[in-house]
Amino acid sequence: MDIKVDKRKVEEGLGIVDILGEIDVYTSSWVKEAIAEFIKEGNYNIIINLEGVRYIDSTGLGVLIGALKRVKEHEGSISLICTNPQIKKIFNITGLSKIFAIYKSEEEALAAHKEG
Amino acid sequence: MIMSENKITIRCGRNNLRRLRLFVADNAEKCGLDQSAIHDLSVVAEEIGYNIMKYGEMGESGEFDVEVSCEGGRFSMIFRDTGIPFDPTGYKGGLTFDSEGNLEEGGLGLMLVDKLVDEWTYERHPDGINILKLYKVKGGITDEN
Repeated sequence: MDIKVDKRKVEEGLGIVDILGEIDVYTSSWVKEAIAEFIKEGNYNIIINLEGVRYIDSTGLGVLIGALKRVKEHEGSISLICTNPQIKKIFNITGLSKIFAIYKSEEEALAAHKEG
Repeated sequence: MIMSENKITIRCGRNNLRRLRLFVADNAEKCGLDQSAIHDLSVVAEEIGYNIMKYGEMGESGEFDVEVSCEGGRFSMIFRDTGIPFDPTGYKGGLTFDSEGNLEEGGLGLMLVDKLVDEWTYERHPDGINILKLYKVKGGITDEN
């Protein structure tokens, strides 16, 4: 499977998910499961690092929207790290760049989280 | 899967969508399109292929053809399938919210297609074939679309 998902706990309630590979109809259910498990562990504020993602389609976007719905039930948040212009374009044209906060680096995303 | 240089036959089944995507990306690259356009066309091909498989009601033994061509700086993809008639060009899709204002999953596939190609047309032939033609012009679409 052309996907790798790593999860890191930063502090209580805050975690980072690093995704590497392609999020498509094959891999999206696996990514969905990995993020859902992380949320169940109490990580309601999640930064999803898409820097290693080469491809994303509508099923991948659906996974992120689903994750957002789950964390919002706990007043949590999902923010993204993404600088790849092709991937950013997908968020821009769907309007999801207005739904998810998108940062250029992990440092920037963590700083924004601390500022609240 | 049957493949010639510019035509591929895809058997229904998610496992074959990646082959379709790679076929389109390879041909788009040969056409001289940039990485952004190649990514766009890969997404478009997969979304359309997935739609045909999911809603065409052709069963797992069903197949559809995709023919690509590159002419005068314009890349075209023609999908032919014998599934139920459906004109996706009239379906714009987009973000949807439930009654409580929560964002819902889904509805983005055809929106992506609509935004990532320059033009697309649909015809249903009397012999029961859906023909979907999609075009992308080199440098024709920007991020603002």
